[in-house]
Amino acid sequence: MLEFIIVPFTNVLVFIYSLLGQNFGLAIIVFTLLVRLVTYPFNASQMKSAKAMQELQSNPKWKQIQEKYKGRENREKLAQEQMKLYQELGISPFGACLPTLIQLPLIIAMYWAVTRALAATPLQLLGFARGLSLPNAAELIPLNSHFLWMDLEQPERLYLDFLPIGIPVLAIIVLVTSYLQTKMMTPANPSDQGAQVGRAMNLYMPILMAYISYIYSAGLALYFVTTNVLSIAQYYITRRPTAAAKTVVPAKPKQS
Amino acid sequence: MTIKRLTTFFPLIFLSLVFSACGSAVDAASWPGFTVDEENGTVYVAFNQAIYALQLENGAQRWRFPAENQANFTTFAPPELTGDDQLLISGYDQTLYSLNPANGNSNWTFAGATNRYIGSPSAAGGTIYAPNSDNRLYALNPNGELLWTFAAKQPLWSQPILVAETLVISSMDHNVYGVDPASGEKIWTLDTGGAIVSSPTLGEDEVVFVGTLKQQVLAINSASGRSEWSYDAPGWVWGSPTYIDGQVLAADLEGTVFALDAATGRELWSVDTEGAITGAPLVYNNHIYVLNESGQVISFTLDGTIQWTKNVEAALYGSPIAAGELILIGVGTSDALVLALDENGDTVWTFAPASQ
Repeated sequence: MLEFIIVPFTNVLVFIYSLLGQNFGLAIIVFTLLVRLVTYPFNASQMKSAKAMQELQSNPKWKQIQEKYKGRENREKLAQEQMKLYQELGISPFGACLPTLIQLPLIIAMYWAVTRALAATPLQLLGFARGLSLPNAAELIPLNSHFLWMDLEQPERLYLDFLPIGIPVLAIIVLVTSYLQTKMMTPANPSDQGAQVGRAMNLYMPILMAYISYIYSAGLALYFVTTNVLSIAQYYITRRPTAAAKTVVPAKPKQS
Repeated sequence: MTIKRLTTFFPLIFLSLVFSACGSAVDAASWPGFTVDEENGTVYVAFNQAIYALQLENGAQRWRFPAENQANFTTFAPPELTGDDQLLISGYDQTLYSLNPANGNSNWTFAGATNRYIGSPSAAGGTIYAPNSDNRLYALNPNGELLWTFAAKQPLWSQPILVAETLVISSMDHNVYGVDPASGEKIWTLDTGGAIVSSPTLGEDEVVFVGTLKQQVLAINSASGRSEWSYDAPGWVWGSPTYIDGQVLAADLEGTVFALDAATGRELWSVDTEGAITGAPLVYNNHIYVLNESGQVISFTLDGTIQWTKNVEAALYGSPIAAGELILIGVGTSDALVLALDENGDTVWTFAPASQ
C-alpha cells in the first residue's frame, strides 16, 4: 500500500549505507536524522501545539472557565468557551495530533525500509533485491547487519558473562525515551477531559514501543531510539513561551 | 468518543495493527524443499511448520514432523538423507534435527547455532556439514556432536559439496571457500564480487560452477580455487547451475534460461521466460524443466526449444525435482503444497496438508 514511500526509503537507506563504509547502524541513525529534518515543520508545529496546550493549563482565563462551567450539566458550555479561548490564543486542539497522523506513513515506511534491508530469509531477500535501483546493489547485498554489540537483524540483547540472560538495552532505552517524549507532550495539569487521554498515552505508547523493540529487529529499535532522542532534543532547543502563557487576565478590582 | 481522543488513540491502534501484522517468522519466508528416496518410494517435503513424508506413487501422507504445528518450528530447506539412514532437517529455530526417515521419530538435535538454518546440510565421509545464517559452517559427527566450525563473514545459505579432498562452500559474503573437510581449515578463498545464494554444482575434472547475484556464472577449480571462466548473465543468478554432458544450464531473475559450454563459458543458447527463476534447471529424460515466478512450469528440449508450458495459479520458486517418472513441483499454497506432473505436464497427484 505504501510502496511509493517504502521503495524510495529503502533505496535512500541503502545508498547512505554505501556512503558510510557499509555500516547499517550509522545509516539508520543518519537516515532518521534526514527524515526528521524533512518533517521538521510538522514536528515543530506539533511541539508548538503541545507546549501551548501545556501552558494553557496554567492560564488564569482557562482556569476561570474551568471553574465557572464545572459539572456535567455545563459540559457543552465549557466546550464552547474552551473553543473560543483556543481561537483567541491561536491554538489548534488537534495541533498535537494531526502532525502525528501525517507522519504515520513515514514511520511505517521507515519500519518497512529497515525490515526489508535486513532481509533474513529467501523471500525477504528477493523482495528487497527487487526494490533496489542502485547501480551497485549486487555488491552491497547482503547488508552488514552488525553494529556495536548488536546484530541489527535480530532482537537486541547484551550478553554479559555473569548474567544467564541477555539485557534488552535498546528496548529499555526506547521505553525511557518514549516515556519522556510523551511526558513532554502532555499538559502538566490536564483538565478532566485531557487527563484520561494523557495518562493513556504516557502508559500505552512507551510500553508498545518498548515491546516492539524487544521482539523485533535491533535495527528497528535503533530507529526508535534515534527518533526519540531527536524529538527530545528538538523540544528542549525550541522551548519558548507561547501566547497561552503570555495571556494575562485583568485583576479583579478590590472591594472597599 | 471525542475527536481529540480519536486522533490520539488512532495512531496507537494503527501502529499496533501494523507492527503486529508484520514480520512473522512463520508466514511464507521461503518455498518448499524436497528430497526423494526412490528406493523406498518416499518424498520428503519441508514447508513452513512441518516436514511431510509422502508416498511417491500417489502423494498420500505417511507421517509429518512435528505431529502438530509448533510456534517455534519452521523449515523450508530440502531435507538431507544420509547414508546411515538419517533425515536431517534445517530449522529456522536455530536447530538441526535428525529424524528417522521411516517414521519421523527424532534421533537427536543440535542447538549450537545462533541463527536460522536456511540451506540444507550435507553429509559426506561420516561428517555432517550444516551451514547457518550466523556465518558459520558446523561440522558434526553422525550423533550430532560438534567437531569443528568454519566462519565466513556473512550468512551461509547454501549446501556445501565435497569434491575430492576439498569441501566447497559458497557464501553470502561473496566468497567461495575451499575448506579441509576434516579440520575446517581454509584452503582457498575466491572473491566472486556478489552474494552466492545457492550451492555449487560439480562438473568434470573437479570443476564446480556457481551462480552469483552479481549476474555471473563462474567455473572454479575446486583444488586451487582459481576461476576458470565467468559468464555475464542478463540478471541475478539465484539458483545453482546444472551440469549435463559438457553443458552448464542456469537461469536468472530476469527469467532467462541459458546454456553454456562447460569448458569455456561460451553461451550456446538462451531463452526468455515470463518470470523470475530462482531454482536450478532440472534435466530429466533429455528435457529441461524450470519454474518461474509467473506460475509457469516450462519444458525445453536440450537445445532450448520450448516443448510445453503449464500455468499454475501461484508463484513458483525453487527447483522441480525428478522422482521416478514424476516431476515434483513445490507450490506452497493452501490448495496445494506439492504437484506431481508427468513429463507432459499433466497432473498425476496433488498434496495439500490437512489444516491445523
